[in-house]
Amino acid sequence: MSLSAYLILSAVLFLFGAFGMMERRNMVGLLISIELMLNAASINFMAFNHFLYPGTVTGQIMTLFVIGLAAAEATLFLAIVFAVYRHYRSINVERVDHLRG
Amino acid sequence: MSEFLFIAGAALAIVGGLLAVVARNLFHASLGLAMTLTGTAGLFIPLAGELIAVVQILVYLGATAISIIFILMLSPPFYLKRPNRNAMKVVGAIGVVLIFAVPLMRAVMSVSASDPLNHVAPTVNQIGRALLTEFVFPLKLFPFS
Repeated sequence: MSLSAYLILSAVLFLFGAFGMMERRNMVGLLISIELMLNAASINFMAFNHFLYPGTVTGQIMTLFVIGLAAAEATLFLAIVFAVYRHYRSINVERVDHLRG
Repeated sequence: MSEFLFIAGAALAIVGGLLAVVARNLFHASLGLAMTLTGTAGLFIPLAGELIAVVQILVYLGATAISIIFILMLSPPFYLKRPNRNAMKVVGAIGVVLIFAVPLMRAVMSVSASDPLNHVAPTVNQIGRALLTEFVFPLKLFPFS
């Protein structure tokens, strides 16, 4: 398999994620789209590491950081969603529309 | 073997990604995300990243996807009637994505590199050594993020 096969796959996943970011209005849907985009980025890191710099580990370590960041981000998002839900009784982002606490 | 893993992983990832984005039921969407993560873990194996594939399954699928399913408790119950999609919003989103897709695909197509034939796959030892020497600062900074 060539490098462009991996890159096309990752671009398609990224575009799915971008579409979901624009179309969804539910906070969980937005989080799922963000995870798709992060996943596409980590495919890119792995593919470039394997094809252009074989034998090195920089891209793999970057992917490890992406995975860790996604886990941290999901828990943080969980906390934010809970706070928003307690206040607004909804997790639709269009209803969360005033800055007053 | 490498071709088979690529095709299987890519099919899982694409189908899962589509499901994650278009499913009306958010539970199906999060299962689609889990499918994408599994397919991606399969893709990492022909890219000489066996350790990363295992970490992806353990951390991404085991912790992140499961905590997303946990947040689903807050979404409206599934037996209620779902509001219909706003057609204008869908068309607008598809338009923006297409505008973005054309230069992206063009840039991706212009890259070419063949499979490196006689390379040594990086070992877990090498990854651990790099994490604790070259990347020790980001690693230590990471828990504060």
